[in-house]
Amino acid sequence: MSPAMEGSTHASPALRLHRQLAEIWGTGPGLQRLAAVNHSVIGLRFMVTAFAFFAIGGVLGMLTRVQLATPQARFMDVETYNQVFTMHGSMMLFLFAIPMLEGIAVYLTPKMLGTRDFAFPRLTAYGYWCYLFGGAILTAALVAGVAPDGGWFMYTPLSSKVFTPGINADIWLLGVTFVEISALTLAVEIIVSVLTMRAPGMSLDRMPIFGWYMLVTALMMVVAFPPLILGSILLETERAFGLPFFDPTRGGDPLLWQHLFWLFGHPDVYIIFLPMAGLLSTMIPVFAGTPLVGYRAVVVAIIGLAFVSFGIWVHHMFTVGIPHLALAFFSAGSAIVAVPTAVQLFAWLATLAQGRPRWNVPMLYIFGFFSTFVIGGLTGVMLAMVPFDWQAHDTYFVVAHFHYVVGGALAFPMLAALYYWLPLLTGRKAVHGLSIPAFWLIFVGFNMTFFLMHLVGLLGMPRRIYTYSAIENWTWLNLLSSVGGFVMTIGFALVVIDLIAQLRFGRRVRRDPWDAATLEWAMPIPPTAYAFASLPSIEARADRIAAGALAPSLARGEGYLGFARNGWQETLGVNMTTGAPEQLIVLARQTYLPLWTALSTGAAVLSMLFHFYLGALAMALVTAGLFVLAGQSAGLARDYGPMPVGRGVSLAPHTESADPPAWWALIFALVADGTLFTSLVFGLLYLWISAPNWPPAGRPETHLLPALTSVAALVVAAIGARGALRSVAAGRPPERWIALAALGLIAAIAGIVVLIGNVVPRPNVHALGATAAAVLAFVALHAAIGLLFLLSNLLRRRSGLVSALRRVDFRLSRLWIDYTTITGALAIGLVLALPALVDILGMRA
Amino acid sequence: MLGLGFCIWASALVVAYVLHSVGCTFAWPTGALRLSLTLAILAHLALLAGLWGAYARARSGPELGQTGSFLRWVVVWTLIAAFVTTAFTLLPALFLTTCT
Amino acid sequence: MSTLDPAGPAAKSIAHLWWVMLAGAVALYALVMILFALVMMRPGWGGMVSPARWIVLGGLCLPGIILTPLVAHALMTGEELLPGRAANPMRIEAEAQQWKWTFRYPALEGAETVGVLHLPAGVPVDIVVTSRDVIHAFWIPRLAGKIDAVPGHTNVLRVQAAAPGRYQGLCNQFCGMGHSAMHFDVIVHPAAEFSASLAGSDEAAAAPQ
Repeated sequence: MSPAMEGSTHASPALRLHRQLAEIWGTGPGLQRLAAVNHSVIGLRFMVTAFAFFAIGGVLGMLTRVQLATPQARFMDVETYNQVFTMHGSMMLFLFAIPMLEGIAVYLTPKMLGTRDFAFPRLTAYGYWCYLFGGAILTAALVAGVAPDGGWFMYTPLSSKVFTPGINADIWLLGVTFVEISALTLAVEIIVSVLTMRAPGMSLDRMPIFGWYMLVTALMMVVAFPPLILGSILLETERAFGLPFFDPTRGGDPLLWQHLFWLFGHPDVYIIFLPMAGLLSTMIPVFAGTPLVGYRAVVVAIIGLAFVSFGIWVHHMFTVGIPHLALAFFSAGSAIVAVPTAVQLFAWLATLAQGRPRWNVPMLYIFGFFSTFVIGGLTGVMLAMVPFDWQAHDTYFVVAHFHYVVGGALAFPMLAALYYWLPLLTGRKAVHGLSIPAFWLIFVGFNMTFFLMHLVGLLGMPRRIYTYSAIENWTWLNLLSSVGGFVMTIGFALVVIDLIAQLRFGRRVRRDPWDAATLEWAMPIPPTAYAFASLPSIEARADRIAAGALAPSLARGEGYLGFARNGWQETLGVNMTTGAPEQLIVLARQTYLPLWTALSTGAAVLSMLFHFYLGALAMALVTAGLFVLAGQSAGLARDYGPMPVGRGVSLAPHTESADPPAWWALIFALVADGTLFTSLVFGLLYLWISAPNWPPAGRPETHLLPALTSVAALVVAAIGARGALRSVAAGRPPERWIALAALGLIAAIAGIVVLIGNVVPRPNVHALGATAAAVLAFVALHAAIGLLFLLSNLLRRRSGLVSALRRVDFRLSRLWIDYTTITGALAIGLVLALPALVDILGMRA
Repeated sequence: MLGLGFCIWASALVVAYVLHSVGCTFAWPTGALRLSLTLAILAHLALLAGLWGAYARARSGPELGQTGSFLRWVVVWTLIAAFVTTAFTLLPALFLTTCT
Repeated sequence: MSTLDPAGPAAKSIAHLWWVMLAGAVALYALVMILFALVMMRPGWGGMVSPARWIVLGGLCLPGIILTPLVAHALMTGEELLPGRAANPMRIEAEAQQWKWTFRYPALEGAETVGVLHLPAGVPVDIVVTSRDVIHAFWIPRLAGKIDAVPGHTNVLRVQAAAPGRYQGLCNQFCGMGHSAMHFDVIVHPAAEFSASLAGSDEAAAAPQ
């Protein structure tokens, strides 16, 4: 990890600074590595783990190609085949694609934005452990032969208890949800970090374009994942406790699952594509030798893309029987989504056209990207046309299409980025002997495998069949596809060998081998744990920086925070828009807490899996306790007031700031939570309007008294939270107000439990009762979490972590309880309106 | 602000989709369903056009300087893009058979 | 089973749509790749066109010109394929279950076949599709597009075969262990002989798949 400083005139001050900072930021040796929270360490772990799952998923893909190479093959039986293709899809999407982009985001974003780490290092580590344990559960199931076997989109009723009685589907629902916790925590973290933690002077218009891509991607994740998490929770509840959310015989609807799944599933494609497009937008200008063309147009395009990608989920459902008029909305939307994509493609072409492009290995993969992604986009527009989709849907044409899209959007840019950033990771210059044949093997193999699938799909071959009879022209097309698959695999194997060779034999290089223009190269390579010895001041667009030339002055500590103080991990918080420095952020040090918390979360998941519900509840409480405990070691124990941060600027620490990162984190967490709540309410209304077997036999009853009491109790809690905040601000003890808020929350929980107990029809009898109970349980859960907030407030006040200046804890509690009160009133109002809704159904056609 | 235009597009899509399924479920007359859809979409288009005009005329405050004009440019173009998207995705459907 | 060898009007119009889109896609792919080759091989060539023009022409105009007529054409094609336009054709009920198809012919009092669908040639038929257990999909590639068989819902697909003959149908939505083998035969009879030949094919009615 020692930066190569020898032989330069600035060696001694830079070296002294390096030693001081490395002491503070570094991860310890041996087992202490498990306590790592540093973004470079965790980011690398994410990428390596994701690559391992990519290898496993790739092997599974190869197994399907072996099975399908010849008609009536006996290589695998149908049960194995169903597990293999399900796990191939699930692993590639949930354990490779998303975590890979998260790893890249964690590793690169802080460096590119000129800051020392992400806002919540412990949360990054927790996210990683959740991902690793969730992935381990799924992999263990695969080894044990009880892997999920219902296809990666788990359509119910096939995935319901009746038709999949084993543990397979539970493993998918729980394992994937576990992994998604990490996706959500990271998304919130990325948003907050991009918005508030950049190099001073980096206003929004000076942000490197990758920052925009990551910001938009993370915002998409915050809204896209909750519908799937909700769907998974509902389906698991149906499987475990018999609540019929998706059971058509009891007023549920399997199509509700499809809506929830694809409301996540479609944006997910763009969540994968956008970060990779961000990498392309970073690399292409470097190789063209000129800044990215159309920066503003690209920003508009990615905002448009982000939104429109949410409005086209129904194009996965063109054959479920939705009226043509409604399909037309989504068909036209799926067509117009090509426009922002085309804007980006032509911005890249124009960038290359303006400069003097040089050929090298990353550029070769960028060529691979252009070729594959354009084909995937064109077949995407074809499938967006409703009548064509009626023929091609769920055939190998679709399989070909999405492999071209994901291969183009993810695999080729990922490999380009790998070769481009490898010197940053290793501090060694690339040698390209093996890289070029590896590229051609992958490129030719990829096209051979997947291009032919278009044809076999048009010839009528449906996806997910484990074997076929020797008819028509399927046989030779499948055989060639399989051969292509092996060529591609050999190519990937060469890439791995190439990587090892480069790690072993690459020539050492001090910094910036590419003449790059972004800040991640303005540091000695490989990067140190603290990334920047001092933070740069940004005066122009931050993707036009002479990074190599800037690095020595930053290493000498000539930027902001070029010193060590109090053993603190310090970095700067800036104004969201202007990038003016506003607060001194002191980050949490390394700790085993994320590991323990993830282990207890994992124990809760495993208990659920084995129907040990008391254990699951206990472990969930332990997890909650650990989160409260984590709060005990965050923040500063006294008021400091403004402190010098270098270059003549003084700033107060984040604990005394009006808008510390934690405040924004809660806001975006509530956006995610609000999306989940909205999805749940839409689910109820969706069932009401289109599920079979409605209305239920008994008319639902209203219990006005507990309902109104609960709402009133929530309002009391909100008043209590306000009083507590006012007391703290005025320097008075807030305990009484906290007690009032807690009493309100407890009373609300009691009232809601009574309401759930009186839901008619019973939750296990009809989906009306089940969804009503779910909406109410949502509120009760939030009130319970509100109690945890209050508990944390009390404990932190005892430890002296709260003062009149450092009062953000109480603002967080107030925000949470306000949110609980509003969703609670809406939820209870909806439950009260159910009898009327059921009466309206009588007017149906 | 950056997401405003497309939030209105999203609202237009949701309103149109919900109106359509409610209308089909409760067997509204075809003419009434078509008319209500048209009005809902046109209302969203009018809102987008109004905002577009307002933002195109507005001057950003001097305190934000370059950043302000950058943001204003982006907002105006997201509004335009959202307007075109709303028209392109929702209007053609109005000519189709309503409930099959 | 090829969708490119249509044997009915619906499959035919979709195949036509495909060939049109294929031609357009080949042209667009060639355009992008030629542009990419030019900007890489001939530095300075593309610099004559301003960056803004690149983005407006390539990113906005090009897709706009192509997508608008394509969407209009596809929506009109879709309209023509919808059931319920011609006056009341014969209805046949198709019920899916793991892993077989049962067909009922209400017009021919209580006739029922398993694994074999009988159709009259030259006239449209509405297939009313539903499922008894999980989601399946009803698809005869050479005749028309597909429709899902969703438990609790009924969907209608308009099918028409141009000429008498035998075709293959299959389940196109993954439905568990027996998915790969969930085929059915389609026998198209001359329209005039339809009810007689269905009544005569008792063995088809009795034999499970």
